[in-house]
Amino acid sequence: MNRRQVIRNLGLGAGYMVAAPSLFNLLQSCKSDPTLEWEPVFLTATNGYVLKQVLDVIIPKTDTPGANDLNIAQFIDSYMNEVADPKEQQKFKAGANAFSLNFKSTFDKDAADGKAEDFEKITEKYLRAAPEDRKNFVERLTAKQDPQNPEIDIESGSYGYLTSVRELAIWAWKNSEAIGENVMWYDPIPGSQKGCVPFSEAGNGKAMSL
Amino acid sequence: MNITKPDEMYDAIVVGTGISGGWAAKELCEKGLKTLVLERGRMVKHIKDYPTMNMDPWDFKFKGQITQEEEKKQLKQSRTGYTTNEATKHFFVNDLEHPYNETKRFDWMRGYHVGGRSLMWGRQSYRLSDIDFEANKNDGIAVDWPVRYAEIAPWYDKAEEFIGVSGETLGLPQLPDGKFGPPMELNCVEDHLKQNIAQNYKDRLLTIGRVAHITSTKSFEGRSSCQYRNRCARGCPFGAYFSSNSSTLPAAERTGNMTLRPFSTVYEVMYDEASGKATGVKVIDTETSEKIEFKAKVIFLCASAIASASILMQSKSDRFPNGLGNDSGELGHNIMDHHFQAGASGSYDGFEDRYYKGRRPNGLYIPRFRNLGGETDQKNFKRGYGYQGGASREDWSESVAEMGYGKELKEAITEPGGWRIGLTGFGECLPYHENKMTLDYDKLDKWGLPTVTFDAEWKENEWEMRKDMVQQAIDMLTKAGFKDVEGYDRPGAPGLGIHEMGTARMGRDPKTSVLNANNQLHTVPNVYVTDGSFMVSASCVNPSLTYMAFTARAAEHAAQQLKNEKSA
Repeated sequence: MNRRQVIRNLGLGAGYMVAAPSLFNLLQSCKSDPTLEWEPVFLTATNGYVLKQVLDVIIPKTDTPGANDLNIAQFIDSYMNEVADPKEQQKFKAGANAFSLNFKSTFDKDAADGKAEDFEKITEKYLRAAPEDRKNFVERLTAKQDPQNPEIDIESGSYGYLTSVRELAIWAWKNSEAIGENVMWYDPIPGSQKGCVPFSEAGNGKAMSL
Repeated sequence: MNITKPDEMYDAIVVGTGISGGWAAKELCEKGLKTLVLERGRMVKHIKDYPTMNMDPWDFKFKGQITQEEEKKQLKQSRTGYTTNEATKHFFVNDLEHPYNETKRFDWMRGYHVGGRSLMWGRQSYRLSDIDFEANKNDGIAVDWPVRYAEIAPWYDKAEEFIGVSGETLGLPQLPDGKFGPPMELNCVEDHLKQNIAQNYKDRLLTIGRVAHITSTKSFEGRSSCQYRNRCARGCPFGAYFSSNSSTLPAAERTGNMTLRPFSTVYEVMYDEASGKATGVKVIDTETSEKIEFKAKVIFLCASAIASASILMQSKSDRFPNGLGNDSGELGHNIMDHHFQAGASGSYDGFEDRYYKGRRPNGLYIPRFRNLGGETDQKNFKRGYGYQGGASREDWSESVAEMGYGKELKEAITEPGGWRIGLTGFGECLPYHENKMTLDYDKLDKWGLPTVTFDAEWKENEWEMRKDMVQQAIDMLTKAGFKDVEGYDRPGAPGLGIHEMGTARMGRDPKTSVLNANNQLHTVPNVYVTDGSFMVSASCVNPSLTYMAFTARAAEHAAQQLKNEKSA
């Protein structure tokens, strides 16, 4: 099955609660077929590639699964397509474009040709920026923008894009089955309630996943 | 259109299956009355029809968030921001199919299905006190309640013992104690605030919320104790919290006296001028659009404050040209709700090595402490408010800026974050005659019935009270050493509290009220209205337990009346 079609189909029909209990399962089964390349439904092909690369930097594979092991790029793309409101959609698209322009002016090549180390470098610049720089980016982002040309400020746009991706990625990662059931404290039927107990009696230092 | 007139004569008809309708059905059936229970929505069977009850976030396509396409069907239902998601949206109406009109914004949140809002309710269960029942009289506002606490107290006992209420006894005059199962536990930070309030204030205290959950080992037919999953609004497979579906409707069914008919919208109560009594109801079958009449000796309207008033308004006759039982002109007026979302939040440094177990479906409660006499009396507003809220360890994801990205980010976000607490006041709203609903016969719904138009607003007393709700919350948190304390005031609009009430108030005088002390229409004694319509003042506590108590009491009265008529 064409992956684009899989995602499209999942977005249709009211029966999905019964029919498609897990988007991830389905996507993972698609991914295991190496002949299929992911075609984003919301982002351009280049921005889809960029998203995957950036996610690899933000939530890499370690002893636990990384964002790309859980198809979070596909999730974010389809979330933007179906859940985000028009304002969010426009902001995300403009941010992705700003990031790609920024990439080009930084490395003098298209983001589609970017290597892992390039993405590491540019992500570091923004997500490890000094607090005063971050404050400045936020101010520029919230300042009144020309709605016709929202991607003009590629620096603050890139910062906004990376923080949005990080926020969505953390949420999607923590709420995935692999992390929620196996990495975090999964306690579906607690059976009893204790108000104030040490970690040793409540998750051993892990946060509740539910 | 076909008009069928089933020959069967019922003893009683109950309109609605929510908190009040379920109780009316149970009580009337248990007293041996052949009872027809009418519900405008679809059937929802306990457990079987809770499709999302066991789903984890990853079992939903978007972790529980609804798509833009779906949200278009529930633009009004989603105004709360927390009630409609993928796990619960099937229990809220489709706004496109069930439109209403807003002269002023009104948030009308409801579910059309068997069980009504008893499935999604907040489960906080408190008693009104004589401070509430005497408030209108003492303040010279609206009309006096025709009932006092002593008369209703045994019915509160009965309701609590059947539904199971967990909580702590406190001995407060403004919040009478009841028949409670063991209280749930406060967490470390909530307990810290409790100790601190006890040291800093003589006029107030903090307790755990009183909730309709089973926490004792006492046996409840077909139900078991709370498992602390906190997925109540999806329907509970354990029947651990009270809903009509898990509790009252099965009890009614066990008697063999109940006939339950879903897809049945009641639009009129039929009135016989010769006898001065109602003879039955007119129904539209929402699937076939067939119009049907059902007859009974006594009618219980439990369709919710707005819907029951709407049915009475549509029940016009020569005797009652302005709606059944509406000689006073008060029908549809005096709409009240609780105004909330005014309070404060703060973070707490400490208890970093402590956590909690179980997802408690409940929060902390700070009972009313304003206008109770002496130093508690306020110049700027009447009545009072209670706070609900809670503390928890947050997600790190909200404060990960410093964490950057990569391996250390991954590790940090799987650990419990910092503690944060929130308090929100639930304030009493005064009854204002001009806060009202009317019917629009020019805008009909898809069954040809008039739609409801709301014209209600918060006024000076509510706005003044909200200032105090914010300031007192800030003060309590600041004194207790919380950091980053922020007050907030998001008034929303009437209805947002989902406690709409008062549209057919009780009273002693038929000239100024719709119902008498037994919830009967003053002028049509075989029609009882026992949902939120009857409320004369709002109190500041969550109202559902009060609807249960008054419904049970009215059912006893109705059964006694029928018995008397038989023996006469």
